[in-house]
Amino acid sequence: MIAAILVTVVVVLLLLSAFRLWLTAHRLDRLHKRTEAAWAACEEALARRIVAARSLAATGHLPPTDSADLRAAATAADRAPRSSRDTAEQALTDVLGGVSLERRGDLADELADAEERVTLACRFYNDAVRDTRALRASWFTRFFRLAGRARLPEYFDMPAIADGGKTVTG
Amino acid sequence: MRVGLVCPYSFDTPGGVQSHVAELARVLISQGHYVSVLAPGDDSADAAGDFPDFVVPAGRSVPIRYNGSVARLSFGPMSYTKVRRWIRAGNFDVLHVHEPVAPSLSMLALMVADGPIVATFHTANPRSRMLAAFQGIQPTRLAELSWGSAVSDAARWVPVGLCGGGAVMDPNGVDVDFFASAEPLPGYPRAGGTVGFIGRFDEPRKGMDVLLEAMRYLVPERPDLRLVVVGAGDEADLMREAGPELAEHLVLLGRASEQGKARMLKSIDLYCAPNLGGESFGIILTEAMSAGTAVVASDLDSFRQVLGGGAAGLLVPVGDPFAFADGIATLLDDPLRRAAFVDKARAVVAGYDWQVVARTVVKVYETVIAADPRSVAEIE
Repeated sequence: MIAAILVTVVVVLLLLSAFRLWLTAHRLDRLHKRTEAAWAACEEALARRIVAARSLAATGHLPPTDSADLRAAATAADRAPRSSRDTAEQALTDVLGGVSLERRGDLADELADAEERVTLACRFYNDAVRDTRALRASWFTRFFRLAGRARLPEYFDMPAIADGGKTVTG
Repeated sequence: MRVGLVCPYSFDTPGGVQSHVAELARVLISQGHYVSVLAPGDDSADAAGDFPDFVVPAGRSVPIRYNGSVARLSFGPMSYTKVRRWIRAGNFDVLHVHEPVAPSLSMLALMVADGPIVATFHTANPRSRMLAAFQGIQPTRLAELSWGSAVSDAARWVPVGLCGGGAVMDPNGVDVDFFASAEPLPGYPRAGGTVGFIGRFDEPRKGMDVLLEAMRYLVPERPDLRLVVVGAGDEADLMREAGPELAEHLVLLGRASEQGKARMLKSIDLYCAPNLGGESFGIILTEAMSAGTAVVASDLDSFRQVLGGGAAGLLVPVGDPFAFADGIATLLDDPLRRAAFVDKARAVVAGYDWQVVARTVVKVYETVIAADPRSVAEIE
């Protein structure tokens, strides 16, 4: 009788662990996908800002030195590898901050729009990273090596854009 | 863009969340988007026409006491089927769920839907009874959310604590023109000073006690001062509390439509917000500001923010009737200062106009979609 109860208890426990294992693995998989997709969205937003910065450099009627700085910063941000992307994007933000008083019209609107999207997309990406890292840090995930060989996602230091991405225009 | 909005409360009764959802839907539609709103409500054929066309009623709702007021919610197998059917038929690009904290349609939608999802939390009160009751099951599901957006800075800490999801500022909107163009009530504006209050006056956190006490300081010097009150509550109780001393200075208008609120705001010299706390935003302040009425308000974080740090209205210490009375007196006696506040308020409130707010909301949708580019479907 006691043996039967013990066996039942053990079986139920095993089933529960299996279920939790499956649930966690599933959730982790979704989080990894979400992180990747969020990074893609973030890159898209950053690319949009680079395009806006280049147009501003080309036709924004800026002083020649500002124009050259802006073009250089945009190109550096565009070519930066993932590991130094934050620094390059921050440098672009700084240059843009320096020329903001000169901004006028459509180009400025486009840039402000791109900046707002960068802020949103980066925040979204960092949320996904935080959730993924939190789940990966739990003992359950580590003990069963549920993360497998997936790379631990890195936070992206989002370029601090003044005024929450809303730039004062014209 | 095809947007599915879920509102947990029935449109039968007026309320902040309902009007937020309806207004967001209207503005998004005016900007060319397709919008469908799922909300509790009678879905039988003879009730058709009771709601705006963009509302899909999800069936009967039950009254539940929540956060000091009665909310009508739908929850159960019937609602579950309805939510699934709505999501399947809607083929939405994005699902925007409001107040997914109570046992409600919003919770159901989160359980059923998969894809780009945005959530908005309207309450700044993280410890309501409903929340406690459901704390066990919520975080697991809510953590899966693509995004938690909150109605105001104060409110955004609710989702952060709850589900570990980040938040983006998504302020309430106000239809500035609607309030700016309202006609005053007959007999107003009048001489002698008129102040106003809108809201559930029997809810202690609204601070009616402070305002009554402030009035007691003021009436001996100002025999014609009048306090106009719009909102639900026990009027007999309020008159008893006011006592004979204040009775003749009080005008109770009861509940009012949006139009009624706008006309009342146009009729008074000064809007009073003596709230003691628990306000996540202060939509009523933006309405007064839109109507061009000067505001004197408690110095709460949310009010300070709406009032441009104090440049667009007078802030007084919270829960201090004497300071409140002093604030009212100062502004009633100084029309120039009042006009300066009104001017500044007009500029500040332009940023809260629904058209502006809706454009930001659409950007949030687009970002969420970019990170999860598939339409909203039922979860496998």
